[in-house]
Amino acid sequence: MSLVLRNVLSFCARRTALSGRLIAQRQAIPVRCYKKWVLPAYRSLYKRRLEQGPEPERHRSEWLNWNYNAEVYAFGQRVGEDLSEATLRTALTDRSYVEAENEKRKGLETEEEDEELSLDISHNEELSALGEKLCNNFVKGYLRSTYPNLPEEGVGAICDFLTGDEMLAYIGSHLGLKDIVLASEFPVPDSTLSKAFTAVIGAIDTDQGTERAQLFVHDFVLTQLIGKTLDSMWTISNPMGLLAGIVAKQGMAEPESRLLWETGSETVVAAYMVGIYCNKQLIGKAAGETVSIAEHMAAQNALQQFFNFGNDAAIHFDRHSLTVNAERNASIEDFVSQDKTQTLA
Amino acid sequence: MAQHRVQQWATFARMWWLYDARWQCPFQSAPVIIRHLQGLHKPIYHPLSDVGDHVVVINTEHIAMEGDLWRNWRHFHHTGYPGGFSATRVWKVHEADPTKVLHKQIYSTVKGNLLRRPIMARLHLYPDDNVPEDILKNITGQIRQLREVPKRLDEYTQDERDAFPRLFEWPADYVPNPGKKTVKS
Amino acid sequence: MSHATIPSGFVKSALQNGAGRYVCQLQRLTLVFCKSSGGSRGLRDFVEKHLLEFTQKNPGVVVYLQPRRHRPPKLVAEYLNGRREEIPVATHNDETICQWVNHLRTHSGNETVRLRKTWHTDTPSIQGPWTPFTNKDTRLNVTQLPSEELSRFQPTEPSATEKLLRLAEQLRAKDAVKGGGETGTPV
Repeated sequence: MSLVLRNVLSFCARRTALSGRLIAQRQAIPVRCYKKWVLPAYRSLYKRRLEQGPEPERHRSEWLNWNYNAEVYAFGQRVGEDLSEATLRTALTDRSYVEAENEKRKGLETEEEDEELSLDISHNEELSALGEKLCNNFVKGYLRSTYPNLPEEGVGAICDFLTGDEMLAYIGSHLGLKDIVLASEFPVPDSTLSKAFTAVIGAIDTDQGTERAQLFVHDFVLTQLIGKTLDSMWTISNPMGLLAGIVAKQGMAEPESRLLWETGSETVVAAYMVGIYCNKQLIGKAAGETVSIAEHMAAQNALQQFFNFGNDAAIHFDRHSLTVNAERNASIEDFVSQDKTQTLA
Repeated sequence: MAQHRVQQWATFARMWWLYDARWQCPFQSAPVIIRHLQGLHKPIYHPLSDVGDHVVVINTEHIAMEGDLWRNWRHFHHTGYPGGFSATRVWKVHEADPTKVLHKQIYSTVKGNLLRRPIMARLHLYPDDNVPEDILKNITGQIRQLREVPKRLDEYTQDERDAFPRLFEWPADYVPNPGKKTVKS
Repeated sequence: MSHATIPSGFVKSALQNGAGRYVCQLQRLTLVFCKSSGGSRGLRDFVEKHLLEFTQKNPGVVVYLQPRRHRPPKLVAEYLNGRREEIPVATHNDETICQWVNHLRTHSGNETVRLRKTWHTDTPSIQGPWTPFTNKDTRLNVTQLPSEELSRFQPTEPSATEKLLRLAEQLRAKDAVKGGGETGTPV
């Protein structure tokens, strides 16, 4: 075939192919070339998906592989406690759920008007109160026995930190409570979760006795003390004043703070180290970004030495010594001499 | 929480060191100064973590070069343009800028990686004792000198000169270096 | 490829697990398999032979069976921290699947990353972490810098002048003992 003829024929073939493409646009004919529409289309899809926002959180029961009875049983086994089903279910049912269900049932029409659609489940208020009381008493008692030199205010502050809503909800959700708690709100709020957790403690107390419940609290709540410093749990507003009071009560000289080290004092990244001396003996030292911060931290350090709370006095989590001291520790006022109580902020 | 924060602040605190360069050799001093600038003197050193300290060098105009090096050592410079190459003897460079000799020596001794610029930024050179107040206030420690500062004869007291051991005494009429006869007899 | 681009992390424990009592972090195990296809044979065998033993030994793990036609078999593990792990087990035999199930049971649920340190401690130092001021004399803080004492070169060997002066001292002492200038030296 001559070159001209071949070119003409191929041109015609291309024309018909093109018209074929134009006519049957709905049929995607694969063509090996760069498709200009792909990138803008994907960009647009991506932008539209971002505008829609994240997928809403759904309860685990909305997926097909869900069996509430099995989940509840597994929770009891996972935690290592032999609880009766009834108590456990009560512990996991929030009052808001019971009220919501009753509300729903009021709206329903019954065959006989006299019959009441009552809900045969109880909520966890009682168990929660029982568990909370046990938890607080045990945590405080354990802290008092481990740190006999810690003032009662400190014990209270640490107990508040450990048994607060946030902490108990965190522990509960990491034990799998989030999926099995029955509540009206979703996502389940922290207060509901912490209530369920304390109700579980109460359930253990009811079914297996106080000692098992205390062991439970020891294993899950007290272990959260690992790696925590005293000042992250208990904020003392005037540590220097408190230190002065304690030192006066013990009959030592007034504490003097001295600058041990300073570097780069005219720069933004200045560092200072302050030491607190009593009778020329060093009782506490710490560093800081400014002299006042360093002094504050040094006073905290000295107080920790007095309260015996630090690396040396770490809690040993051996379950053999679950000693609980019901007697309150000395209060701050008892630590401090009478004339110094006014300096406390 | 705050305890950990201030502890970290203290561990990574930057020190300010002082070094007196009077009668010191720049080739000998540079490695010692660089060791402090890099942070190699710290047990927490890591090349990727910026733990270097500041070094303030004073009396750089009184720096000492070995032997004939003031005359023979050259500093090279190229302006970047053709024919822009120049080599200047160190004594001339030192006249123009008394800090340049030590600066150049430290710059060339430091490894030529991206850490060099911040290291050089932490080096503060002063030709004499006049250091600004705010920099003096920052200083925490002093780096020991590497060479003994020699004592001139006029820096010895008369007592020290008298007490210095002698093997023998010159005769009273001894004239050292009488010089050449100027008058032809 | 640099290690900075590959995710890395430190050792983490879930809820101080083990400090008190040990809690198995595996919450749910879902077995997805096909009732007839060949690839699911291993998983079907596992369900027949080993699953009961597993559930008896681990009552805290909820096991779900999802027979799905014409789909490849997989194990889906859900952990207490909310993470999911899926393991495709097509054409694996039941012993291999046993090992995989055990692997999932013993995981903490944390992401598998390169561990920068294979240990963790809350008390890394007994004497206190190093600061630039450790083992330094506090008198340095009250010393006026520049200080002649701190700057002066400290030689390891005595210089020639030093040696001479010491020698002179020794000779003077010897002369003083002998009691008079016998040698007549003006030392």
